Amino acid sequence: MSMEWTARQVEPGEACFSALKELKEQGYNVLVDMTAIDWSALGRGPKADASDPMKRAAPAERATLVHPIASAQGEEYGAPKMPPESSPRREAFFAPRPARFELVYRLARIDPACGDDKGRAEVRTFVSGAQPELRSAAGLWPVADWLEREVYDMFGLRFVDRPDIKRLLLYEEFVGHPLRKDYPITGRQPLIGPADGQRPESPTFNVIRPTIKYD
Amino acid sequence: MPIEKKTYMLNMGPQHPAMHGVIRLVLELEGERVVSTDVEIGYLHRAFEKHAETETWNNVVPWTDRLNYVSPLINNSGYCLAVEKLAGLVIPERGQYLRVISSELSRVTDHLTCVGASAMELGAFTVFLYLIKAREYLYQLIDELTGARVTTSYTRVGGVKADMPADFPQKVLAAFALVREAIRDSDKLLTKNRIFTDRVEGTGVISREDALAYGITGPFLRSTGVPYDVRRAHPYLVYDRLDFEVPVGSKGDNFDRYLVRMAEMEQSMRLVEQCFRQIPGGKHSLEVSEMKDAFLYQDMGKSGDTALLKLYRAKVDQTLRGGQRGERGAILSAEPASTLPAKEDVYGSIEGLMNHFELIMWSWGIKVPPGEAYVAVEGGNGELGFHVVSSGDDRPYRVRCRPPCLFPMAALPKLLNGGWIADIIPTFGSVNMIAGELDR
Repeated sequence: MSMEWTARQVEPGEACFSALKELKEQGYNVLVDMTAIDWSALGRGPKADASDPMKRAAPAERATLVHPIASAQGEEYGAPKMPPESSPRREAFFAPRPARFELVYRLARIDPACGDDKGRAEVRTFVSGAQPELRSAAGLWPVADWLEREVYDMFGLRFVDRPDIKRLLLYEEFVGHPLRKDYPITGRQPLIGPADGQRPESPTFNVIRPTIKYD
Repeated sequence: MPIEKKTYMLNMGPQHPAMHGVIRLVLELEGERVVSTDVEIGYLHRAFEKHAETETWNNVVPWTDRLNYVSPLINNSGYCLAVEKLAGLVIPERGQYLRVISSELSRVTDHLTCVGASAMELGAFTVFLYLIKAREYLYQLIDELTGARVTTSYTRVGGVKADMPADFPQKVLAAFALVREAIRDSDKLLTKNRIFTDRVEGTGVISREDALAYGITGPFLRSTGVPYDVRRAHPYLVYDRLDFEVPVGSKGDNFDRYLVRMAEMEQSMRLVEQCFRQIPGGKHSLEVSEMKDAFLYQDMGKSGDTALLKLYRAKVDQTLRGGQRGERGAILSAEPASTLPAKEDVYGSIEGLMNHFELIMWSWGIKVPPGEAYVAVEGGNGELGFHVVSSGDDRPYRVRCRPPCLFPMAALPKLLNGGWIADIIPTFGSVNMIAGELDR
């Protein structure tokens, strides 16, 4: 795999936007992807589900089980997620993070003439998710409009300059943000409208949003 | 009395047949002119990324079939490559060639579907029948290779599920002759046909700057003249050993996208033919005399004849072929903590059985070291990326799929605004929107 990334961590908001703008001026003409990661469940492991017969063992009991394959490497299966031996990669991964959510922007510099990828960059920023902290990049790459809508939809991260942001994949009446680690996998919601069958008049149902302006 | 100019709204889809039942366009029309457009997606959202967090590493592979369901084998490879990058696994060469062969077969089926369906939407029903028939020849071969036509789940972390059948290359080459004939016939029916070209030439035009700003990749970007192809820019698997061309268009309209897809099918078939010439040989089939049926094997194990078992090899169904002792090394990585043990060891020894169950049981399975990895492969519609995060557990902490057709869909208002309402059909068809991938 020959894809080389130059990584960069910045503060959210204005600093993040100016870093992206700077990279765009350096020739990063494609926003390859933008996504978020919720780090709040790190180190907790898979939740023991009482209804699942395959996971009947109590967490305390499971913690003492030794994985036969892992045991050859001196690793215990169960609650302790940090093995006794430490590698730089492990330590870097489990180091405390400044906030719950991490946003990842992936950029590429594609030469329109020869089609070569001249280099890739990722910009990472941490946000708490409590209040709108981010600035929209839709003015730089218009597709950021949809990617930001998806990040809002799935993680509930909001943008200071997009107060009326709309969900991308889920419907407007959906409550919560499913890719947050505290949203249950078994969560069920009515598919259309509230339970009494009356769909409220949705404010944005038949509204066409203006086309994005970008440089 | 002054004449008032009025526009009106039209909801197109999700029930409209040309919207494939999963896209809603809100159009503002001035007569037959499209003034502005809004695209609503999400009708096929199945929470792929959320589900992936609850499944073990290998159990996510079947979910990836359901992303782009006309080229599922490319998704299988892409996901497994991302996990293998994170785990530091290198798969054997034969396995790499098998992944390239299966991916390129899938790319042909993808383009056949796209060209056939969009031609049908413009009235060329014969072309649709020809191309879907051609696709069926390939689906039958994929069925022989993987055990399923569409829900293939062919790859595993560390390799592929099974080796190809012994006569697979001959069958594929015979099918390619039929596919090429169907493509030639369709080319004769469409490329110089005024009924077709009048609808696709000069419609849905996008400039290369706009295409790049919208993050568009794949045939859509190449139709604007940018020869960006992940297989060329970042060669993965064995693509750097294979010779292929990257067809490009010049104008970026629907006709160019049609031509690029037609040319790419030929290149994909060339790639498969080269793979059959280069693939490291041997090992994929054994003499029948050395083999024993799997159930006899189990019986011998149960009755305690384990010493004898070591002399025999298990004869298994084609879809499990390659799991046997002699063949396994050619298509699966040799890492015992991540790949299933040989079938003989599973049936014939308690250690092998335990090893097998440990990898299969929930909460056990493969453990990928903590970290993050992003891997991109060239999907049917462009750069298909998988961003996987592991926390050292038996299941992914997060899986993100970069769906290549989301990007042209986001650019759809730009393509449609200012055009006629009739241009929506060819433009939307040339995006090759696959809702399974778009909505995940």
